[in-house]
Amino acid sequence: MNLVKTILTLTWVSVFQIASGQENLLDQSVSLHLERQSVAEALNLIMANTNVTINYLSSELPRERTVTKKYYNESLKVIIQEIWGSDDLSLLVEGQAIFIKDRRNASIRDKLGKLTGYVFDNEKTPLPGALVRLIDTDLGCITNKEGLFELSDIPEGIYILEISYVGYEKSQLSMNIKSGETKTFNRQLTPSTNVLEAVEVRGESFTKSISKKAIKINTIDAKAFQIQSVGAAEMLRTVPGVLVRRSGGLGSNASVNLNGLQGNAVRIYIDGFPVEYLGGGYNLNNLPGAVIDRMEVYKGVVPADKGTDALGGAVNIVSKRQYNDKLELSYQVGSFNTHRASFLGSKKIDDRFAVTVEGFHNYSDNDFLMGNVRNITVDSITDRFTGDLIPSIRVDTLDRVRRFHDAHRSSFVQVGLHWNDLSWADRLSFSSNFSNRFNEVQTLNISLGYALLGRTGEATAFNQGLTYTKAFLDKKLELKYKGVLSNSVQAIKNDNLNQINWNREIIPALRAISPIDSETEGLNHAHRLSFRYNINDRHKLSINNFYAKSRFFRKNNRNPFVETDNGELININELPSFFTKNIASMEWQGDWLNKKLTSVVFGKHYFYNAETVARFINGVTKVEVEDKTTGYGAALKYSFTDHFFIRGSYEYAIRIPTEREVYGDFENILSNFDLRPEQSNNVNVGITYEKKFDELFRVNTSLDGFIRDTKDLIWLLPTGAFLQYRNNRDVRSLGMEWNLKITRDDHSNIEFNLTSQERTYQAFNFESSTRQDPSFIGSRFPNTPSFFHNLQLNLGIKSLKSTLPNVVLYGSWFHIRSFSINDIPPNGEPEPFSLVPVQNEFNLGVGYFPPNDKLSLSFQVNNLTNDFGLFDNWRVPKPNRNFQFKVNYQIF
Amino acid sequence: MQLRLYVRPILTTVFSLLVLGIFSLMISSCDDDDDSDATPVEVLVRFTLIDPEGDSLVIRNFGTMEIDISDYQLCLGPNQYNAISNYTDIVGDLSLTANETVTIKLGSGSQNVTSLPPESGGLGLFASADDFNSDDSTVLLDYVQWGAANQNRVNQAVTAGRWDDAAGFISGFAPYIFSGTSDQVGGSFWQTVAPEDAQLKTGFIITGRTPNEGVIAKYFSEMPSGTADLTDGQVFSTFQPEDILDGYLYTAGATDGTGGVGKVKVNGNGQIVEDTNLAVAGGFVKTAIVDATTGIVTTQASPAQMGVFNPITMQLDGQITMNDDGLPGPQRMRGLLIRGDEVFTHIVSNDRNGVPFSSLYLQSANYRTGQFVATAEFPGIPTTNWQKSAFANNVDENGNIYFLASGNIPSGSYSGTLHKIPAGSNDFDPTYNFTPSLQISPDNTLFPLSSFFNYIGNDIAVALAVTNVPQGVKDLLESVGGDISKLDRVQILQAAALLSQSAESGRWIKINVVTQEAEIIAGVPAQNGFVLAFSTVIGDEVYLSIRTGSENAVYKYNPTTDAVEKAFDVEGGNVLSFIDLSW
Repeated sequence: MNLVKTILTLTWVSVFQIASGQENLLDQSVSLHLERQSVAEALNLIMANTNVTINYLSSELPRERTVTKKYYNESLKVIIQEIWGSDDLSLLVEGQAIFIKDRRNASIRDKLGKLTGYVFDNEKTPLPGALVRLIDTDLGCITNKEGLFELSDIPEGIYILEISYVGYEKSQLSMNIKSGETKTFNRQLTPSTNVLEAVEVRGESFTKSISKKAIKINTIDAKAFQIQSVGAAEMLRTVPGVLVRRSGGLGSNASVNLNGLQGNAVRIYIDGFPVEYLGGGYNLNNLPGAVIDRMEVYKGVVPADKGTDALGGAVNIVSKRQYNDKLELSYQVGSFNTHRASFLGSKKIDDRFAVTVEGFHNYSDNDFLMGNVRNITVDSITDRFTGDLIPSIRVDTLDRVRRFHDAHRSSFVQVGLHWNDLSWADRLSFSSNFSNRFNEVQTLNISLGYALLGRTGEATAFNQGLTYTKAFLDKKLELKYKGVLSNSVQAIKNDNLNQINWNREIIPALRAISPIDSETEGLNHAHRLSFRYNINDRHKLSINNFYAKSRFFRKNNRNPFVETDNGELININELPSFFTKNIASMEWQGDWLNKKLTSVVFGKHYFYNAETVARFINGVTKVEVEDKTTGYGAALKYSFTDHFFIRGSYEYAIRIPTEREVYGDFENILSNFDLRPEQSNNVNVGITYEKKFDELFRVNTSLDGFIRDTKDLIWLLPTGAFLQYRNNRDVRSLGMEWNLKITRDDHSNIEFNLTSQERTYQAFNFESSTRQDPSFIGSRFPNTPSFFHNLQLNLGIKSLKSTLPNVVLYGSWFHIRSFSINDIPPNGEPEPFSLVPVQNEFNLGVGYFPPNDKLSLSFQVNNLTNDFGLFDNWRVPKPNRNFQFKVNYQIF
Repeated sequence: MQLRLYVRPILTTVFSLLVLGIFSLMISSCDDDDDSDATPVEVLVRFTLIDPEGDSLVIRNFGTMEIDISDYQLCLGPNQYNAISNYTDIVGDLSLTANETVTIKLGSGSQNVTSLPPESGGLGLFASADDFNSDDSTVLLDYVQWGAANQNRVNQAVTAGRWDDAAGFISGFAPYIFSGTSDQVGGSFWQTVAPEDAQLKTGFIITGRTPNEGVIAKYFSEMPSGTADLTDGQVFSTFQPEDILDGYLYTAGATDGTGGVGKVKVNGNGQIVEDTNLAVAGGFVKTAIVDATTGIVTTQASPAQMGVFNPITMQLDGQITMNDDGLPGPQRMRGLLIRGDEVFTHIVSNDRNGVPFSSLYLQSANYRTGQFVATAEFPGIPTTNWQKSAFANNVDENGNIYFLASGNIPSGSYSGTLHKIPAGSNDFDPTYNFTPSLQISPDNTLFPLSSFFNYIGNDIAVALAVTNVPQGVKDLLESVGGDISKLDRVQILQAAALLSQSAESGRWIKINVVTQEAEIIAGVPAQNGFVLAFSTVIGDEVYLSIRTGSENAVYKYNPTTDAVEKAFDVEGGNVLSFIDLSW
């Protein structure tokens, strides 16, 4: 009953608030008995009976008016309006203070001024939550997430404006406010220390503030990794519940395991756009840390304005943005002939226009050592029939081998033009980038003892992006648009089909290697349009639409001429395929109970259409399929204090089948036109607590639990002579993760993350030939670690001549408990050869900041213990011990 | 004076007698020596290895003289004896010189001791067949007792000094290896094999599919009944037995997912372990074991060459080059069958565009000479694969080969047709072209597919056939007026998908290969016609896999009586195979 009552109460409050559009404090119920009191007396009486302060201009006070009335549990708003004798009042709330302005008094109103502007740091990063106030007045406010503040109804006069933000020098400025004038004033704050870059931004940085939203978002502030020799993948793996699974060294394929879900279930976005629409030139495993501002990890529940068809969450990589005059360079050199260079520059042409340019180049031979590797050699034996010598194969195990033909090279350059404060656009950006990624394909299966010599893969993309934002209706309505147009070519070539052993000797082909060169030309355009309406300060409604259409040509050097159903001979390489997705969503966010409670409710509608010309053995035919479905979700957060809150979220998430899953390959994989989207019921609950011992020393901890109840998982199954993708099984991930971070000061902290999860089979859908015996229900899903933790340590120390820390030692320890890459018998033990042993990886580094704070140097050792038993996805070996040196330099 | 006359003769006589006595004693001693030369020399011929699991033994001559053991007798008990010369599978010479050994494999030749009981037994080595009740050590030359006390003839052996105690026996895993000297007898002088090194050659293996496309496998010492529980079995990346020899399974690919041919055994703990493997170039391995000296392997990487290897040592030692004359394009071998000294292989297209041959091809080679023999062609039957149960038989008692072409829908082959290569011929009988599914279900004109053919004997074979057409497929046909030729490719794929997802489109059928008649095996439930199935012959019974929405089981069918009953249910994985290690 209490639950029902609570729900009803919340519903009533929400309806009232939306309808009234008033502040929460004004909704406070008050009982009051007035007997011929003057307005001033009545207001004093209210203050005496509540903890509310009421401010007004005495010149506006209706002195002749007296009030006689009894109020029982009436809202403060109504009482004040009736006491004042007018509902044409401007009632402003700041904390527990109410400011009354009588709108009827035009002469007074005309004498009021307005002050607005942005507060940002020295990198032009907005500072949300900064305190802005006029000294010796009651006028003040907090900047919003864009760093914007706005003070209105300021009586004409000379004031001292003070802006303060934890961790930054306080700023004060005298200014003259004139009646009827709106003064714009932007202010850059200087960090309180300039010796070290902030390892952890104190106060409520944007990255931290979004981590406190109702929908759980783990944010990684790239600034914390700026000095280290790490890329996006290395940063991401420090997040609790996240495993980055790679298939080799720098630039190799990487996928993210997020709370047990992996592969297509977890989407990767770059600046809010799915990476699959960006042409394949850059990805999670080649983006250097220097070009990243932050990474946002959405676990299970993805906000409507970010999501596409992410079944198990998403990772959004937000690139670094700066618009003032600045040029940063970074260069890293290390083992395996690894070189990573990046630059980030911007030029402010005027207050409204800036140009940015950024780029990176990566190269690595990736020739790391591996231990206990099978190796194939060829002997000669005497043929029993002819007496001639014929080749025979022998398998040995080598203690150490060095990888080869595994080089990676990638380049990226982007130019951006940015306008702001245009009459028709608050912000307009146009960007154009070029990217190229080249990989030598070293091996198909490292456990087999042989390698490929001549296969390479290359992707080139040319992307144009457009971003537009504009606020309307006194900033109540915000419009955002972002679009990308991408031209790309992805090719696989086979220059040399020889297979060789680890001694680089050519051996007979152990596996049939497709000699087919292939090339995919893609033309993608994707668009995200968002409308957000701020109903009031506490309620927001957003409507979003993501639309993407891909047109691609798949070409290979097979005979391209095939016969259509009509008997016409056509070139299949010249026939495009199309894949269209549209995801529309709506989200309502509300704050309740004086912002202690935040709620988010959203719904999503998914539509896709796939159209292709499919090749059969004896011809081609056109096939087309489309489907639509809906998803929804909600999130709640309740703050007991500013530093202690609980939250929970739920999403019924959808993943749309891929074209291949629907159509098959028209050779061995049958099409399945009845394939349904994968669905997942994702639940997160968690509690977060922060204890501040002083401005610098604090402890944060959070404990979260999650459920991923995935239905109709799409699986490739043998069906007699064929294969077919089926909605075959249900899988559940159940787990918890714990995070503890102790921050001593800006430069020293220790963070520990622990995740324990069980991903198990829950059901096998009966579909005749693919019937799966139910005995495995409850047993672990293979290739999914069940327990892992990591420890991150940063320690700032002073060098001899420095009064502040200018050396930082950093280290990390990653631990993964042994797991099986095969199914485990329900009542038995996994086979030894399918077990990935316990993984303990130690990395250690040191960074130095010379007195010239434009320069920083670092040196780090990865896989310090040189453990050759370290493996990645599907037991692929990890690089052995390696050394990296990095220098960052800010020219201006 | 008179006294002196008598004393001298008396002393002389005494002296003479004394000398004679001493001489006599000396003579007597020499006689004894001479007697030893006259008695037979003790025969020191002993067992040094007994292997009841492998039905083999080793005999060694511990003496210094050469001994012919041809007429020596092996005796397990009353009326269970044979002369050693009756065995034909012998490694070594039966005339043993000093310290020489000979290995005898039972089960060969003509005798009535064909095997050693694996559980328990007592084996005597007799010098002749004259008296098997003798406890004379010159007749009962050696004796070994294992598994249990008080075996046949153990008391005789104890009396003869050839065994130490009737209650004593060898306990452990075979083979049993003698570790003593020539005069030491009893179980304490015999070593057994550690369980992990032992090999069990009897019993059964059942395999099932795991959710992630691995294989769960488990050993059963007895024929399963009720429910065969695999849930505590072993999961392998791959476990695809192709043939069996002496209890070893030969698998396509190693069990850890790597390539080659795996040689797999069951150890003394009942665990399935890979003993060794043969690395070969290429994937899609198919192998067939002819005997202890010859195994054949094909891979995709060597599409026109068969490898020949020794299944004991797992060493490749020969290759047979096939002839591609008469084939329409590059070929590839899929599946093997043995007839006499010839190996036949199904030939499919190795075309990079995936276009199948328009005819059915089988090629043959002589694995004794390494020579290619012939190409058999049956026109108009495109095939891309051969759906075949492990250990299934395609050759009848007379040497006729029956081959069921399964069909492949994406390649345009929509029928499962049975064909014949007559005995003595290496080419198809052009008049033999039989579609079992269509005979049973005449309205199944779109996909009359059959697969998993297995010839049982007496002209009878079994197969899994698509016998029921789902309504969705009928509707599709109706939409084009019943004219299959009017179905476009998407509709054909839709029909195939409907069939593959239909619960009860298939039945196990019985085929008379001579009369070309097919009938449904009544009593065996319907199941999907596309399911990965098997049939296994053990004794007089055929074991048939069944996987439906409610059943995961193996049925037992007697083709003579047509009796059907469920043999056992399977729990722990979709049943994939049922193997008798004693094959």
